[in-house]
Amino acid sequence: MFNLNNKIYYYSKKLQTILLFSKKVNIVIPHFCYHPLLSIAGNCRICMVEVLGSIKPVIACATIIMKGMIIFTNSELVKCIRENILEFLLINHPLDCPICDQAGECDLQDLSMIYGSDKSRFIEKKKSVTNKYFNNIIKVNMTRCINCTRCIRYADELAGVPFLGTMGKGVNMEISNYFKNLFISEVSGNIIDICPVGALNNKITSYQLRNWELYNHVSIDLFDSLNQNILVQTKENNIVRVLPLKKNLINMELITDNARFFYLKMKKNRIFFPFIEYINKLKINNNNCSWNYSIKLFFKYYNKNNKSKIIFLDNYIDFLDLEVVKLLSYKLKFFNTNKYERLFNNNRNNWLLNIDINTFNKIKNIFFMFINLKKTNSILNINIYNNLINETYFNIYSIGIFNENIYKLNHLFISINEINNLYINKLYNLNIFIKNKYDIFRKNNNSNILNKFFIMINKLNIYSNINHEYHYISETSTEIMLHELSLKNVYLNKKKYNFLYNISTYNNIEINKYFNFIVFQISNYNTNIKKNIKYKLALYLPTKIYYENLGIYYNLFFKKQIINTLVISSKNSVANKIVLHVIMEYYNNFK
Amino acid sequence: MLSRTIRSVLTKTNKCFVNRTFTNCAPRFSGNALLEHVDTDDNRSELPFDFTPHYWEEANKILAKYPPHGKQSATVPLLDLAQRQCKGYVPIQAMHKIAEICGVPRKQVYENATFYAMFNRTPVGKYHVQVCVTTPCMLRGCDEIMEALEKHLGCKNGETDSEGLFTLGEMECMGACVNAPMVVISDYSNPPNFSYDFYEDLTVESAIEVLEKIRRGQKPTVGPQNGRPNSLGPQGRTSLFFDKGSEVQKPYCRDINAQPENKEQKK
Ligand code: SF4
Ligand code: FES
Ligand code: FES
Repeated sequence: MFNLNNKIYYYSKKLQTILLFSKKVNIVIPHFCYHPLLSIAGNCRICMVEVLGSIKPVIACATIIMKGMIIFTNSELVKCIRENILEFLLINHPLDCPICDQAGECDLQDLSMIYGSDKSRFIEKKKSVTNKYFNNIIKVNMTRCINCTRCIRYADELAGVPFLGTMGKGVNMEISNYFKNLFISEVSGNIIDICPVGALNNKITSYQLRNWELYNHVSIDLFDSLNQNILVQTKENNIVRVLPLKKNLINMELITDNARFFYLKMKKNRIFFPFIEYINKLKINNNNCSWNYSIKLFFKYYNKNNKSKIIFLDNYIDFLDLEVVKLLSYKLKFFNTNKYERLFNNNRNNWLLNIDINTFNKIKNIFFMFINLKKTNSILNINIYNNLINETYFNIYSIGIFNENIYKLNHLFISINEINNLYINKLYNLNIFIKNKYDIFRKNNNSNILNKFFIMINKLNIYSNINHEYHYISETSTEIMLHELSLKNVYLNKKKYNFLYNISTYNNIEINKYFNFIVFQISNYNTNIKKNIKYKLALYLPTKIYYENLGIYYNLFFKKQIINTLVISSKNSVANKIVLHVIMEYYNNFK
Repeated sequence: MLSRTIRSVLTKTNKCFVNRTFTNCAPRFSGNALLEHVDTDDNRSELPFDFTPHYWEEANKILAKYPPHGKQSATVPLLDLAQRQCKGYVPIQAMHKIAEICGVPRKQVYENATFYAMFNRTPVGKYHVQVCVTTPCMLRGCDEIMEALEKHLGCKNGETDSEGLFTLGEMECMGACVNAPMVVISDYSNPPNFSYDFYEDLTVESAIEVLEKIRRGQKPTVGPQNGRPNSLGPQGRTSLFFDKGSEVQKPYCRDINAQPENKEQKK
């Protein structure tokens, strides 16, 4: 039993700090250097509480509750300590809140509202610190820093790019990257949220918004298959800022830079009217046209010649729309003749991550097949790295193209071309699959290699009865839904009509074919696409961006998620669903 | 108008505001250099760096003291070796080499090098003169000594004189407060040999004389400059009479060099 603010609580054997416990029972203790995702540093001293019997007050963030402790978090002494420590912090902190972007969501500002004194007793000059450059999206204002070292711990422990340090000592100490070290990482933006004051800020929204003018919407991000939980903030029917959603299990208050700035991509080259693009010997002519005309044109070409026609759909198409596509695919009679993936076709386990996020953090042996997790799912990659720091018994192997990662991988092979019987023998000799149970992560890839791999594992199973677990890491949530509806991702063959997805990641498509007629049903115009696909006539049908109407999506763990309307779109862009329905109706009439 | 009134109010009320020198330094210094790294011709990361065979031998001796997973403990001794090899400072390429040897991220070496005032990150002269400026030495007049040396050498605190022989610097307490004021001189003049000597009980004259002797190539006597043995008081010895003839017994001390006793023999 122990006593907290004159209330008695039962002592449990689980080690618990005072700060964590008081959070549970809704007692607020201010803190700067403590962050739930990072290790404990204990250098800001604002979280001091009084413990009866100890000579000095103790820091709540690092003191573990013992039996019989008597703790006070709001006594006169504690209040006095907080006032004094705040005064010390403010000696060197500039008083530039009116021009600071953090104002309104700054921990230091909030605390000085409660514990701050109304006038300053210090007449010394404030310290000034030379500014630093981290990268393109982080605006640094080091004079505002209170040396809590959260950013250093974030860069070391989570991002895996140890580039920051404390340089100098005493009054002269400052957070610095010393030399030309830059913060190059997929998750660099989180350092903005982690800094409690305005020292690290968002460069892209700098001087543009104030916290209290914004409307919050809970939403998800569709740029990787994890579907990270985000908080989208809008101002005047525009998305202006994206933050991680607090208290969620999937991405634990961290998001990738792609998710943080996704709205910037969507604002570029937006299509508002249907138009026809006609390419005539290096000349490109664009003509706007009406919806009626464009649909008629569509069927004119459809009837003329059944060969080499194609529809491109956006990557961020939702589950209900995909069902319409499926219906349409039966009507327009195109077949799925995809050869690969037949091996695992019917079982849902074959296109999902078959564990939840908690068990994912307890995996001991990992085998990557042709995956660069750092690029595709950086948040999962961070989880692995963070577990790796704490525990040493991880075995991580990977095959495929070599990619640098923030942790050490045992890389087995250099290129996919090398893969033949030889590599199977190599793996066979290593015997890694006999000793331990592995979690094997794979991506959409060649059936040949997979077949060989499974044959090998079956052979090894004679020696040991270990059942390895298989996981599929898809690129986007669309891919998962396509599998669910048994529609194939990229469908291309000579015979019939085609639908193609993943248009937003244009680089993936390599089609060296010449098309007479192409239909793009997308929201943003991208010139890159002309590098890969050659065509004569193209019809562009504008659609809504995924956050402009309601949509249902599934993520890696097959969790259903909903995106609400965040922003109201212009009149002329029409939801995917409607266009597809119109096409269907016209098709019925033509018949 | 507004700015004028504010300025007039400021100058009237806050006189100390103008006079303070404590945190007056806008670009801040640590040791003898800026906190930031500045590229120069022989202090660039692109340059190669390696220890010479003599220093490799010493480095290996140091590295042998630590287990393979604790190699990071060798960063500070290795930084010291690099400073001796480069005649008084640690260039950035040496820091990168040390990070590689110890298997730590580079920033960890920068942190060490900027934290300790004994590591210089910009070149110094052949002799590095550091005046102690902590309280006991300050009370015994280190400020005058500093001023005199600045005048004598013709350079300011943190700078090198025109010949490139002496660099003047500050230091915090080095534990010789009994003999305050004091100066420490590190000698980088003939490389593998290195010395780091205290000159204590200084007056303005004797401090200048020490420097002059060094300039002439003589070796000044290390320790107190006013002739007293070690830190003996004016009334002579008052305690610790452990000479042979004295009656006072020495307290018991273990003989460190003796062989450990055999337990079986005892039985
Ligand atoms: S920059 Fe921000 S996070 Fe980093 S130490 Fe300073 S206040 Fe803390
Ligand atoms: S939060 Fe406890 S010392 Fe900083
Ligand atoms: S104060 Fe100068 S040596 Fe201690």
